[in-house]
Order: sequence, then C-alpha cells, then structure tokens
Amino acid sequence: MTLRQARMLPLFAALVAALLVFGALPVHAIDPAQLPNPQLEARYDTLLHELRCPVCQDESLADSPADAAGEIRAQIRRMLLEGKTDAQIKQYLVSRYSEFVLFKPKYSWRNAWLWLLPFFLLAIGIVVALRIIRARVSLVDRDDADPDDELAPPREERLGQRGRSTRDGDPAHVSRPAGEGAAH
Amino acid sequence: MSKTAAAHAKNLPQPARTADATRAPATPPAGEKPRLIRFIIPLAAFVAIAAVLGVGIKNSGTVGEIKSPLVGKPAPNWSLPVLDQPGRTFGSKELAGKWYVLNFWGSWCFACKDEHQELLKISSSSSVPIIGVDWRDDDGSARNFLDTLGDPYATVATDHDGRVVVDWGVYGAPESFLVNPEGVVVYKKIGPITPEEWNKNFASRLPPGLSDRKS
Repeated sequence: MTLRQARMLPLFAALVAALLVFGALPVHAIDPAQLPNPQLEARYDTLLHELRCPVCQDESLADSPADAAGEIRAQIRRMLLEGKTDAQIKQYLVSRYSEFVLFKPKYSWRNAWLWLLPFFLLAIGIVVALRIIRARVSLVDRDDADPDDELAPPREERLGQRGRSTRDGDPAHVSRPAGEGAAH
Repeated sequence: MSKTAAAHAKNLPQPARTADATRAPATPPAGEKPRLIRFIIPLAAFVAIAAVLGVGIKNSGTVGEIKSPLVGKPAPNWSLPVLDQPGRTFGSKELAGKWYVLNFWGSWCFACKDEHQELLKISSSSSVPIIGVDWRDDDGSARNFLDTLGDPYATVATDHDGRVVVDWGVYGAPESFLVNPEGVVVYKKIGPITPEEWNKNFASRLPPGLSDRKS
C-alpha cells in the first residue's frame, strides 16, 4: 500500500460508514411507517405507490411531501391496522377524492376509450405505414423503368403489361392493382 | 424521375403511348372518390379529436381541482372537539336536520384570511350556520386568528390529526361544503368563497328563510 492509498483509507471508511447508516433507512423516508409487521408494511408501501396525491398531482402518496398526503397516509395506516383490504382502502379513497387518486384508472365503460385508444391508434398507424410502403414499392417499380439502364427489360413490354391482369411468374407486378400506375 | 420517364416515353414505340392514352381518361372518375375520402377522413379525425378534447376541457373545471364525489351523497359522519371547550365534542349528530356550511380552514392558510371577510358578511346577513373545522393548527393560533379578525362561525371544531379532513376528501384550505337537513352534501367549493360564489352556488340552494337577512 502506498502512502497515498493509506491516506485515502479514512475517507473510504467514512464513506462506507455513511452508506451503512443512511443506506439502511426505510425506502419511504417521508414518514417511517409505524406498522407492526412486514406484510402490512409491504402492503402499505405498495398502496402508497399506486395512489396519487391530490395536492401535488403528479406525485404518488409515497413521494409527496404535502401535509394532506401525510394525513391520507395516516388514514391508510389506520385502515390497514383495522384489517381493511387493499381494495376497501382504495374504494374508500375513491369515494372521498374521486377516481383521480388511482394512478391506474379502473376499467369501466366510461374509461373504455382510455384503454382502447392506444390499440385504435396502433391500427391507424399500421394502415398508414402499409399505404406508404405500398406507394414506395410502386415508385421503385417505376425507377426500374429508367431507360438509361441497359439491363432493364424493354419499356414497351413493361408498359404493355400495365392495366392488364398480372402475368404468371412476374413478381414485380403480382400485387399491383390494375391501373394504379396512372395515379402517380 | 417520372418526368424524365415521361420524356423518354415520347421516343418509345407506339404501344406504350396508347396504353397511357387509353388509361388517362379512365382515371378521373375513379380519382374523384378517393379525393372525397381524403378530405372526409382528416375532417372526421379532426372533429373526433376536437370533441374528445372539448368534453375534457369542459369537465375539467379549474386546473388542479378535483370534483368531489361526495356531492349528492350523504355527508360523512363526524364528531370533533370544540375549539373553545375542548372537553365537548360537536358534529353531524348535533347538526342533523339543519342546513349548514362546513368550512375547513386554518390560521396558517392565507386564502382563508381573504375568505374571512366574506364569511363575516355572510354570518351577519344570513342565518345558515357556518361551522368551522380548524385543521392542522394549534388551538392558540386559531383563537388568536378569530380574536383579531372576528368570528363568523357558529361553532369551531378542531381536527388535529386530519381524520375528518380525509373523510371529507379535503386536500387544501379553504374548502367549504353545503349540507342539507337530510345530511346530503349539496355543493362543494374549493378555494375562498367570494360574494358572487356565495350568491350563485350557496344562497341559491338555501331556502329563502336561511339565505335572507335575519330580521
């Protein structure tokens, strides 16, 4: 060990000590739960993360430093100690503070659009993407017809095929609807 | 690219040109329908989005305000110590069969000071009892607040641990509820009661004998 390393040792020890002391604090440090057993504490912790603070409206009850959040947390602790289920506690808070307090909205007819909209938008996106891809594919077809390209098949043959039913064994024309080429 | 292709097409033998020429007149009638659809689809999408956002804006009220699910429902039962007589409790039992305004306040709350002037006016002009719930406060500062600014309340109860506050879905001060003789919450106001607010949403719901001036 060099002298320099030896000098760093107390600093390192202090860091480890600080980690041991502060790292051991409970996760919800806002108000340490006064609950008698770890199962209740775990449920308490989960509930706090699933419920939204009515004051700082983008924070969970676990994260919010607002006084009202502290009062709601105290009420949740009381209800847990009374033996209420998670569902009963959530139902209670919804009946007081409205569905707003649930970070995850309930599935109901009123909320159906909220749940179904992403799938609907995805479907629209797929349709639009397919249309764009098809349009691009047909553009590539036309680029093939560049007459400067000596290797391309004679143009009159290609154009003659358009508008007619597809010919067997000609993959470039298989999926093109009749007459589409004129739309561009 | 299509332009050069077209230019080159002129040099091509006849069959190619006739193929284009015969197809050209056939397209416009077929092209009209897609154009209509292209117009209607974005319009429909716009109308749908505008409708969804419009309903959302209309229902959202003031930013950050949560509509109380208690309105139209039986008020939660409550019972709390009285500020001036800590040994005595007061609550929904004592108020059964009466119209009352339940006002959540605290001496720490600035907006409550603004509202206080209006509450004093209301208490002198109408006979509906205003019940104060002093919240998250110490009794000394609450008394001091009322001694210096005046006391509009029929009774002031104290909620030190916030139980009744949570039970009524209160998350700020001031918040006020109007409760009818059947014990049903008729209206909730989040924020200070202004004269307009009182006339429009409280007095209008009260029977004339209570909203009028005392004789």
